[in-house]
Amino acid sequence: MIKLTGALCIVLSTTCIGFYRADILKKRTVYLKNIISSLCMLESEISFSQNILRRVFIHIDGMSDTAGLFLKAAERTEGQGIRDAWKSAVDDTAKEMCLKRNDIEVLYLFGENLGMSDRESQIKNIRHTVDMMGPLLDEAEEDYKKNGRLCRGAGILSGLFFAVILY
Amino acid sequence: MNVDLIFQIAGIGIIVAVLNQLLVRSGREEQALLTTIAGLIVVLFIITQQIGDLFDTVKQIFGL
Repeated sequence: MIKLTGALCIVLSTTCIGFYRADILKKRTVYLKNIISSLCMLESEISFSQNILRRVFIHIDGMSDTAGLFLKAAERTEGQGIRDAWKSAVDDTAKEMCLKRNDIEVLYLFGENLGMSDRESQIKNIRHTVDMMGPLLDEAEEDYKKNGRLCRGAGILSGLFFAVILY
Repeated sequence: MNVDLIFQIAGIGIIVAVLNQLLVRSGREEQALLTTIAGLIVVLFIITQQIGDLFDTVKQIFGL
């Protein structure tokens, strides 16, 4: 009975690890999509409204789930410049959004030109960032398609493997 | 003869085969090969004692 319970614990734990790894890959695709749609909303806000950047960020954060990236950036603009506020917001939320190094670099690059020039340049900057994030999203979806099932299956099978060897 | 050993080896074989297929379909052929080899090594470790007994029996039968 105890042996069976132990084997079950091993299988359950490796299965959970496998599903967790697959979930990380899924989260990356979801958050990248949300960031892209948030950037499109930002472009619309800058094009058609006269609001300050801080208010626009707060408004966008309520419309899309980006782990509070825009809200944190808005809150920190009071104490720091927009560039540093954006960078620190990205640093804080990157782990929760399961972003890779490339994704973070693109977001940093976006922050470098934020609030630095006129409306047209800002819109160009946003469009450029969206164009750069497109291939990253494709790569993330490809990654999830290829490795999501593998992680889940490998989790279950490795648990069974250890259970069979040990018992 | 311990029948549980046969079931254990069969279980390991099935799991390794499924894992192999999963890795091959994900485009990781080298890792699939490594998994198969690892499974083979594990099984060999499990039956080391039985292999030793086999050789002793063969020696006894032929008086070597």
